[in-house]
Amino acid sequence: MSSILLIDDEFDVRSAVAKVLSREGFEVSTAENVEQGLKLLDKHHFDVLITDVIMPGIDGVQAIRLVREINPDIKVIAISGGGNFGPKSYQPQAITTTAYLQAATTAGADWVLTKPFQKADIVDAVRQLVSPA
Amino acid sequence: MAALTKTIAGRITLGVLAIHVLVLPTLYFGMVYLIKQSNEEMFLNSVRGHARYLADSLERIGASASDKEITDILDSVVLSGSGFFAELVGDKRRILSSLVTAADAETYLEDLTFQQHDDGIYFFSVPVLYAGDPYSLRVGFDEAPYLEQNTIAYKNGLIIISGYLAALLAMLPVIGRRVVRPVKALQKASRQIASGALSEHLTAETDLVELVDLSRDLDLMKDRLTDVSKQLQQEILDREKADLDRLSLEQQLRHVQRLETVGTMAGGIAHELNNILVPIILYTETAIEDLPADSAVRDDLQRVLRSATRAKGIVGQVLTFSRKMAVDTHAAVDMAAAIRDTAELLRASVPAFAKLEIDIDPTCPPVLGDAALVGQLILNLCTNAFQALRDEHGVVRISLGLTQIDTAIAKANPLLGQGPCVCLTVSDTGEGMDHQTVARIFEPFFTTRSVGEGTGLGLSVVHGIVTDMNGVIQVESTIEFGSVFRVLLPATHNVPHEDGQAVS
Repeated sequence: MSSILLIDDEFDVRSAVAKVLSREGFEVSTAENVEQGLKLLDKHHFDVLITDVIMPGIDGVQAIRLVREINPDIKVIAISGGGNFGPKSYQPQAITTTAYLQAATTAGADWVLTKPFQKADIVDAVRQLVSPA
Repeated sequence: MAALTKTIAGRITLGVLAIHVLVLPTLYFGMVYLIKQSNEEMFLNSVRGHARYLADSLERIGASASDKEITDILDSVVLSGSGFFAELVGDKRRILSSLVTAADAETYLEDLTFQQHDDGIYFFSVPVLYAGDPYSLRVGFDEAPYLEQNTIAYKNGLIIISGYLAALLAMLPVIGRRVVRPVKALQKASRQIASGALSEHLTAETDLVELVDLSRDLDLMKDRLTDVSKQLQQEILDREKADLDRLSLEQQLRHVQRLETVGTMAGGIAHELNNILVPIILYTETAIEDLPADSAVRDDLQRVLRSATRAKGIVGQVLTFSRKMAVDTHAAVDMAAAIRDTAELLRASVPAFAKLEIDIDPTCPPVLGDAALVGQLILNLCTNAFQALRDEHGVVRISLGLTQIDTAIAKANPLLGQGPCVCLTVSDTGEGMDHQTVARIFEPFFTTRSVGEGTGLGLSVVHGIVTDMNGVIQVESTIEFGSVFRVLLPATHNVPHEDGQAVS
């Protein structure tokens, strides 16, 4: 049975995603920030990391790099709700959701998902990553 | 009196008169004195001449002459001109002219100067030697003719001087006017200039050098002042225009800043809502799974899921507005094709009462942007226009062309560039909007539609797309006549295509 580490600063997001994946038979551990997640990673083996991209403190893009240093084989799904967290100026070059998700891809994410997503989206993503065709 | 002392003509008249008051009496009395002197001289000369003649005649006739002969000589003196009295007086004889009486001899009183004793006669005696004896020759001459001549000379002098004065008085106003006329002409010209006729020339029609110089200098001064005045007027106009430009710029800046703030807020809210929607969707889905297939609650939960999906769509639109969904890759977009594609999409949904007109300039160059977003831009503008028609018969018109923007807009929007702009216009003959509505039209969730008719996001999405393309959107609206939305986008003549090749 594949084990999953879920990092998201929102409690409701963590619990909802954890419930959905647990019901599909996955073993889910949750962390509300990257530091917590890294501690869990030291103790346990995880097949998949699901991480929010925009978080206070260490963000998801950095998290991917740090996690891969410990577990190079871990599969990564980046999730983001977008928002106005780029440079504050109202300019075309402002960082967008797409840009965040692209940054996550560049940092090594295997899959990106835009919040909100449905159960099928996240379950399919995890399944495809843990049992490649 | 004031007129006489304060005007040029008056002063000239008074000056000339003052000079004449001093000079004319002096001249007159001098002349009178000279005439009198000369007349006296002439009289005395004549008297002496006669006396000498008498003496000579007595000497010629000699001592043997009879009294009768002497009397004749004396008579000839009395008869000659102004003679009055002649007598030869000696110790032995006394002979009187036969033309005078003894009574006349009584009045004899020798004069030493002309007109002495006021008797009108000039008496004097000459000592002569006749026949060896001393005699005294006494003669008298009438002064009156000479005095008369003096009187006539005085009169004539007065007449001449009076005539001169009269002529002078008649001439003075003429001379005065001659000097004053050019000054008056200058005055008239300057009054016209003062009343705004700046093309008027300050010329004195005169040959008086000082006045000609003065008028030339004044004219030069007028030209200079006119130039300065024109310059100042131009400066004032420029300043007013600059003030207006600045005001409109500030207004636009405030507008953009407000949209920025709203955009930032919308982006933040969208992020939160997206996070909130995750548990709503996922828990609803698991709840549905847990319910028996025939449970009535399933339908309710399906509705929750549908609503959550709708909310996701709206949040997506908010993000488009706040640029979080902005597409970074811009390519040359053929606006004409985009309009035609959108019109095709719209055709099915155009209400029966409305008419859609399209006017495209085929030479219009492409613009830089995202084709899908350009499509959405046109679609949203058209949807808004059709909604403005309500249920009335009306026309929605889409036109596309190249236009030269005015400098104020170019200055306020440097990203538009200096060259011609592609102008997309969507106009409707609908209900129109008031100023307050126009001012808020691009704010997210601002809508004039009743609840359920629209989200109020359409035009804020339009604004986001246009701004993203470095464009400007303008709105003009008249209540009951409709609205015009004008989108100005920088034209691209030589930009890379998506595959990196240049588009001409």
